Amino acid sequence: MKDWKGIAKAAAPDIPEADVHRILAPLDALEAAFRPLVKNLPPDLEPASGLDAEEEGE
Amino acid sequence: MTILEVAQELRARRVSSVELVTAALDRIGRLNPKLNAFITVTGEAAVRAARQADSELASGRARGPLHGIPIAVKDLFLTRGVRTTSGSKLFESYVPDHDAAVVERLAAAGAVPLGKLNMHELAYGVTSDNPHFGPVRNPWDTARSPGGSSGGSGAAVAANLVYAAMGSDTGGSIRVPAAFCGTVGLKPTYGRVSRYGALPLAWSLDHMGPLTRSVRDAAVLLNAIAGYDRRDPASSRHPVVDYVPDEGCSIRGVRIGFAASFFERVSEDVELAVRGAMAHAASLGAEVKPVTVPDLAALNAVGRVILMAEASAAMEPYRERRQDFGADVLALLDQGRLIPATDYINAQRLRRALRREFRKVWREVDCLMFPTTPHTAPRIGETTIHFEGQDEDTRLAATRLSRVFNVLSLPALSMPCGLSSSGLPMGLQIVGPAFEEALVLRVGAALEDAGLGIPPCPI
Repeated sequence: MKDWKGIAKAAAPDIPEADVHRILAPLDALEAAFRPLVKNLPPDLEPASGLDAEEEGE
Repeated sequence: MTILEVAQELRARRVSSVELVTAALDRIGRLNPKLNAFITVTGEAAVRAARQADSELASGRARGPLHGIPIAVKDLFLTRGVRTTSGSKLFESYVPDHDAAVVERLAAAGAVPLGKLNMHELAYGVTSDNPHFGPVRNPWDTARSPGGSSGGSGAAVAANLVYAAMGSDTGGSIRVPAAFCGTVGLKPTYGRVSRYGALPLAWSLDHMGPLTRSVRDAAVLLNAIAGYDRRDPASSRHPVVDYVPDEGCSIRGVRIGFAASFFERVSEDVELAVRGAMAHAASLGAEVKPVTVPDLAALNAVGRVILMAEASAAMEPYRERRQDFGADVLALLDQGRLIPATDYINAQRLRRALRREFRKVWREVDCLMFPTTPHTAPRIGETTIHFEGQDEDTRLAATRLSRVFNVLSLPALSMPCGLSSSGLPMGLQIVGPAFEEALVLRVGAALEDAGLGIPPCPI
């Protein structure tokens, strides 16, 4: 799991420590669900942005 | 009465818009102290607008079925000269100088706005337990949540305070309150309805749509608000059609899909009701069949990463005002600030891949049916739901079956499909390919015509 406390200290030092502690569990849960999905993404897969009307056959 | 029914009464001059508005304002006066559905009621302006509508109707200038009909909008739609809070302390004194696109379009259609509806703070949550304006209460049981974030919209429509309400939906915020309050709720395709002038939560997930008391009424609202708007960079030029299903419309031969995953961790009552609705569809000649769909859990994870990153970016200017946010919203905003840019971009890449994968579903079926929410309305303050021996965060459970279609940008209709053993409404969700709102509404209307639905809310 990521070192959320360290990330918070570096990237968002204004978030009080108690508030960081409160969000550790949900961040860990999301990380556990999300991380396996991004393994092996092909390099030519570009980000979506909104609805790609052309792909949807518009 | 539905909009289409009362519109006939208006046109026949058997009732006036002023009478409808006055009756609605009386009912709001009696019930809003219990429900807290409205943040702002604009009674005087509504009566003036109703007089104008009556005058136009009397002179033969009918603008369509919404002409003279009392409605209301969620308090994140900008309204010129009327405070727009987004349910937040940040905007408690914000009075816009222009209208949101949907407010303009509804006014052009002759609808009479009665005010601004309460909601989850900043539309960032599904309970509508608002720390600044008080909790919205479910008209079916005022100890329960109406869902959210468009909780005031769901409560106002269910309690017959207005004939229709506008909501917004970033992860289920139209459909969840529709399911919990026993109304119809429509999240159109991304780009179908302009987001201009709606305070954003997450730009690539935000959708605007109506909550109503019938499927055809939702179509009437969509007719009024759909269409290209150059002021919204995501607005689509895809052709607009007449979305109102014909009387006696048929779904014979329509291929309706479902998957086993739609019923995982779903309450027994909800599963029975939704399977009953599918059987109903089959009895009307639809071909109901199982399909394989992409991983819903993956779609949810992708949606949550995108939501949290975009919402925290949107609220960046206010991050020093920590004391002005409710605890749940602040925690989500803090989480979003810690999500790396690489994760956001990879979530958008996964979104593209999942959309491609999902498009294959439409080769096999024309639409999908499954529950809107896995459970009925929780009690206000209830943070955990129990399924099959496991606890699940109420917020995540409520949006588990709806957020998917914000990620995919597809049109999704929620309609009532029964009351649970404890007498609470349950929602059926009907989803179609992009820009196929007319099909989704036709399926819903055919089911409604065949008797699927619930009795009016007894409040």
